[in-house]
Amino acid sequence: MSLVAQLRPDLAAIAKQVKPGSRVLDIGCGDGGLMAAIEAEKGCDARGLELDPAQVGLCVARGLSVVQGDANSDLADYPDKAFDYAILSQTLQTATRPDLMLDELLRVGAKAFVSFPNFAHWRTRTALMLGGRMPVTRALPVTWYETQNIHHVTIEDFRDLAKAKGATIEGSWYFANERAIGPVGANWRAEFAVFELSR
Amino acid sequence: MGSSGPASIAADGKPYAMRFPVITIRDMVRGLVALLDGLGIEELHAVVGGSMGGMQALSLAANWPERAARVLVIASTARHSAQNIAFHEVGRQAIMADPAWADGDYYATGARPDNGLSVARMAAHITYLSEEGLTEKFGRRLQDRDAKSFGFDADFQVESYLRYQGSGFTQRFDANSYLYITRAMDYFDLAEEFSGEEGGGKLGDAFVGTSARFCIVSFDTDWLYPTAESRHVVHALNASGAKVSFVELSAPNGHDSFLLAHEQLDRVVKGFVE
Repeated sequence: MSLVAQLRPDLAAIAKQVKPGSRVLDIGCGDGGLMAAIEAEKGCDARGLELDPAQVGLCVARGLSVVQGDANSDLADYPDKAFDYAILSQTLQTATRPDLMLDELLRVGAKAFVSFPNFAHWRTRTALMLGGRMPVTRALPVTWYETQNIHHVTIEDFRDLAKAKGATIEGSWYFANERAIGPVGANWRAEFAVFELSR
Repeated sequence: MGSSGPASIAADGKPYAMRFPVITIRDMVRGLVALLDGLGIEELHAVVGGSMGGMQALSLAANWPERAARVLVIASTARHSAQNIAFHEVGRQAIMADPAWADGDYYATGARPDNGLSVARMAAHITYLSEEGLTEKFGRRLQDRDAKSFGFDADFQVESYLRYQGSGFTQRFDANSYLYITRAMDYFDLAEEFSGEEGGGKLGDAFVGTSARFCIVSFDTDWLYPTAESRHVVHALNASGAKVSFVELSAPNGHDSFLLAHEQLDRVVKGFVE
């Protein structure tokens, strides 16, 4: 089984789209799984940004180039269009200002991939409607007071933000039950979404 | 100290003393490169340096980029700050204010500027520690006594410790060498070395075209070479397109943390070097 195939579905979708040999910045790269996969199997030159020093240590131990830092402030350190792709996976909803972070993604990368949990998934909607409390679901498993997700977002919200930022949506992919699903009714059906943007 | 220094004997049969030329970090590295040449080593698998050693590692990477495949810089900086220079100047003035220093010509007098060198080391030693570390280790505890003497003995444990560190240092370090080595660090500014004719060099220019991998490590309680200085280096390496990793580790012991056992540091060093 290839490294790409072992990735979380949203990361695997991104890895498949990335052009071989491209320069990639993975923001919030965690243990570096995506970086390792696209370096080994697509010949990419990948760099990472990660907040947690223990995760950075793991990445360095794997031979990856990862800088410890905060995506809310440290993207400013990267030159314009330094990368072919800037990737932000499952982090947008934790940003202090998701709109400004999107600007930075599109500044440092010629293209950007953004993945996020869809707050408008039917399970979340019904949990809120019937339960009257902030939903705790499979895709959003943490209570409202402990979650790092401070800016919940839906697929339609994200489309609006991309439009407001003058970004072009180059592609979009949707996931439920750990599998890819079609675009029809995605804002109801998808637990996670991945967008490819350019500007 | 080192291969040669102010205490080395010059052609006239006397120690160089202050006739020894002022050297730079790059000069030190030039000496190491000459050693590599002599040993027939073209490329090092990795160069690892902490503190001044980190400056040497950066200098090697910038000036002889083909000589090292991996560059690991721990608790260091690409330039000495005003505060760094200030502390060094206190140390140098302590040495030079000692009558036994005798303008550096003390080797034949039978007296050495140990008092000055000791004070210099005491001041420097404070910069290697953290307030948290000092408080934990000594607090306001008294040294071998139950009550304060209301005099100028070393009442407090921290005073006794610093005096011990200072006098111990004089046993193994030549005062003139201390002047030259601190001066070399003060003059270190890697960006300036790579500035164009109009000046205003950017640190990134020092690393353009390098194929080495870099790893920069700082400690959160190090106020001598704080994390901001490491980030400055990382920023420059990123701008020049170099492969760089950076991690700020948490440790209570200030600058000295890089000399002490630290599990996460071990893991990072091992992973990076292997």
